[in-house]
Amino acid sequence: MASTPQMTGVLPPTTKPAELEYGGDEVSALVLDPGTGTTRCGFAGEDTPKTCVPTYYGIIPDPEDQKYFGKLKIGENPINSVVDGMEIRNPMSDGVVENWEVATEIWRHCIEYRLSSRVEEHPLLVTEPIWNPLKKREKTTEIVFEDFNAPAYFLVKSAVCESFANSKPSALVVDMGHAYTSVTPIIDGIPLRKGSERTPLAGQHLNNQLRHQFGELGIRMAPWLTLKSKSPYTDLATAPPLRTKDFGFEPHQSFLDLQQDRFIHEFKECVSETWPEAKTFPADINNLPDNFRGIADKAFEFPDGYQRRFGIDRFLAPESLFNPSVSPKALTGDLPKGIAEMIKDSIDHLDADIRANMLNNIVVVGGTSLLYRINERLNHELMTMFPGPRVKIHSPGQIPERKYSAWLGGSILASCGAFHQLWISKQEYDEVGANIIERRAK
Amino acid sequence: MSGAVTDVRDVLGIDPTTLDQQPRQPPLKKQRTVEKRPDGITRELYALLGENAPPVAVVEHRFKDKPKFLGSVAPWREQTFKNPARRDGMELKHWVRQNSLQDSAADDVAGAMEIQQTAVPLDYQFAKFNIKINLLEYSDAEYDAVLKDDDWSRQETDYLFKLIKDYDLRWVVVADRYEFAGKEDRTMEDLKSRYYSVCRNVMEMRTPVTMMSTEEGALYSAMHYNKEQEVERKRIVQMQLYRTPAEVEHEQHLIAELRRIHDSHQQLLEEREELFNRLDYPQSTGSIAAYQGSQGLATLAQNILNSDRNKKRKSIAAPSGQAAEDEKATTTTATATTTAAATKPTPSAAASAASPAVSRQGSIAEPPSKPHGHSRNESTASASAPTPLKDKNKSNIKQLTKAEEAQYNLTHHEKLQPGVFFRTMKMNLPKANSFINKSPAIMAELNIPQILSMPTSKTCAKYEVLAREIAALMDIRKQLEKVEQETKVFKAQEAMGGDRTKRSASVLSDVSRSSKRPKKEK
Repeated sequence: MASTPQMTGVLPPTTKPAELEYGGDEVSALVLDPGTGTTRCGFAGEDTPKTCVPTYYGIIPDPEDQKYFGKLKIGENPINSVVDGMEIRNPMSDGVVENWEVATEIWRHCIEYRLSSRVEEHPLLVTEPIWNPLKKREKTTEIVFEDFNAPAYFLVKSAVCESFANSKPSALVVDMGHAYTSVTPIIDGIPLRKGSERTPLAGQHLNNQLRHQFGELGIRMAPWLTLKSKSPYTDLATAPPLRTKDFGFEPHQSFLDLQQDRFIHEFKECVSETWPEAKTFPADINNLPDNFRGIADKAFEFPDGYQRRFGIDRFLAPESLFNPSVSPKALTGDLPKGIAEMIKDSIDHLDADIRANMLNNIVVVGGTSLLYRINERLNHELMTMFPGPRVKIHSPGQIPERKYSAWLGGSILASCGAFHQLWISKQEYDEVGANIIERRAK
Repeated sequence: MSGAVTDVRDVLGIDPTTLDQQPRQPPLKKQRTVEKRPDGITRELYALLGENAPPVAVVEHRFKDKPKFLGSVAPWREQTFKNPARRDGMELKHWVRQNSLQDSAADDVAGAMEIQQTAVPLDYQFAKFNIKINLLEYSDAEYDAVLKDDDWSRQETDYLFKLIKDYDLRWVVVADRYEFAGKEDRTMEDLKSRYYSVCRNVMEMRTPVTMMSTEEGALYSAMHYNKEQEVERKRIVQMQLYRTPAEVEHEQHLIAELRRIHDSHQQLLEEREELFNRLDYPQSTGSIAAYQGSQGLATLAQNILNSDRNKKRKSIAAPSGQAAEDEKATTTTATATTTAAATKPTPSAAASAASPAVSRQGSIAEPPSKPHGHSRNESTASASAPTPLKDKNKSNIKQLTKAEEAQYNLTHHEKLQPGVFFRTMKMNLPKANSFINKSPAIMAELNIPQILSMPTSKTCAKYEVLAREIAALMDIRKQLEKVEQETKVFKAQEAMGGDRTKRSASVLSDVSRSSKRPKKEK
């Protein structure tokens, strides 16, 4: 065997893994993690989802179509191609499914088209947000058994998955996603209702803030897709005329917004940064005090070639996650709580005995948590709020693990040998009906 | 072999054939140990390498070997299985590794079918994790008898027990999910209080407290729940959680102070204990029964005497080898009368010589087993002497006083060096560089020649002392210069402004510390 070097930690094919160290028993289950931004899907037991499809879909309205009222375009490529009359919509609202017909189609697209699997052959694990109402849970159950005809199914809270993905049975899960940032206390894999909080201060909020910020600066936010060519310039006053493509029709505004989101997303990734301390953030960014010490500028080039250095203003949108009153675009209605405030609220709702444990096990996941230095800021704010107990933030270092934490936790759960007694089987559904979900998956 | 050598052999009359074989053998052996030349190196290059060949990476231009598996690859088969923890009998599929015994039969389909039937595990391995807690259940009669409560209805109690069962006594979750119509504001303490009181009441009714087994009794007392105390505890926990930073700091300070006090107290206790131990007399451990008779007492006296002598001798013998002469061993020499006995010490004498050593350690050894009459006298005598050999020498040599020794220039050495040498060569002079460089000047100043004209042992000793003192003097002078220099710097800095005083002060203290050392020596 000396001539064949083997990777350490990988068992040779002739050796059986020890039963005690391996609690997995793979039943070729599928894991579906539908979110507002993207829908993640893959095989249980793997470490990343096989496919990640945008939940946004394109539709060419057609009143004669009885089911969808138009022609659906699902998937990364179809929604990003310029089609006459195509509108971009999202089947999710408030973090939960609103348009069931389309959501079903997207799920089916994920499993049958992207994974090339037959839905009726695999047990299916679906994640849901903690605030998913009973009606929607029953509807999901119905779709899985009636439409997909799955042999077994289970619905699990995404926050529970996230705590499992970080190998913690009890944790305070802070999930910063696309539509919502939620805080959920988990005790032994059971989410608590009373400490659960959510706020729309998340990825979508950042996109809107940045879009507004750019608009105020007078930046022409023409997306890449509509431009023929670009020429670099730095002064907005002497901007060269836009050279746009002529499609022969005007793309729908929702389509343009989606395309704008693409470079705004890039801006979020490259330029946006979180200010590390709450109290040192300037009250008025247009009127900086003389002794103010900033953080280095960063340059960004917009699709039309406009180049600009962003100084303190690149901190503004992320700052609004913690302090919504500084949002560039004033928020309508009641001002939501900042994320740190929300965590404090959640902790205050909990039993006094478990608070210290929760503070010591804060799990921060979700794509928006990849914002530069956001964990540093969160840690700083929580340390100020709770000077006594130990505050510890756990956040996976790997980017995919952070983005797909909920899926990963579901993958772990569905491939775990002790989990197989929990599946809701088709037979049970036939006997009890859709209400079985409330009994089995509490 | 050259012709000259054979000629010489002929002259000497040595048979060439016998000699030829003998000297040849060693080179033959040597050749055998030479390592085989590795494949990748040319012969010329290999010849250049010496005995310690450098590690040369030999690159072989060929494909990797085929992996050699230890056993045959075990087949994996997709099998359906049932989970005994499920009531609906749902069948899921998983892949199971077939063991090697079944491999042989795996080729034919019929065999494989047969195996599939036998390989289905009797018990699903993860079923053992399906554990339910044992929860107390009460009957209607029991409820009516002891469990009635004005605040709690029967339905609500049932609901509570159902929740507890569902969430396996996870109180946090139970309190979180508790939603009984009209009673939503129940706290965890209310629920716990009710649950434990129900359990206690039912247990007590089933078996009176006095009749309970120890396990039941322990469980019964563990079920005791003091609601007020628990509420108060939670309040304190909460207070502790929401301390202000100042409070936290103050607390940490107090803890550090407490630890310091505790540590110093501990140290004090240790020191006191050590002092007590020092003041304490040694405890006797042996029994005194052996010394109660007159004979025993005599033995004891003898032993004490012996050990006393030994102690004395040891203390004198320690500093120098001269002790042998100075020792008050006159009594021993006097008693060791017969030279014949002294020159030939018997083994028994040697054995008895060891006995005082034993007695010194506290346990009183029996006197040596009685030897024959002749050696008896001699054995008691030599018992007190360290070794019988010294005894022998003493009896022959006349004892000299110190004055006499000086007169005859008689010296004693620990170890004599063989050969002839100058005494000055053996002088122990300081090795420091400063001494070697400066000593000639000082010696000249003192009017002492570099090479001693009369190196007797006395003058040599004096010279050594002088040299040491010179070295010490030089050391002190050097330190003094250093300190003076530092003082100058310090003063200059002070004049310029005292911002760096701290540093130089510490340097100064270092210097003074180091300068103390040579002074002490003097």
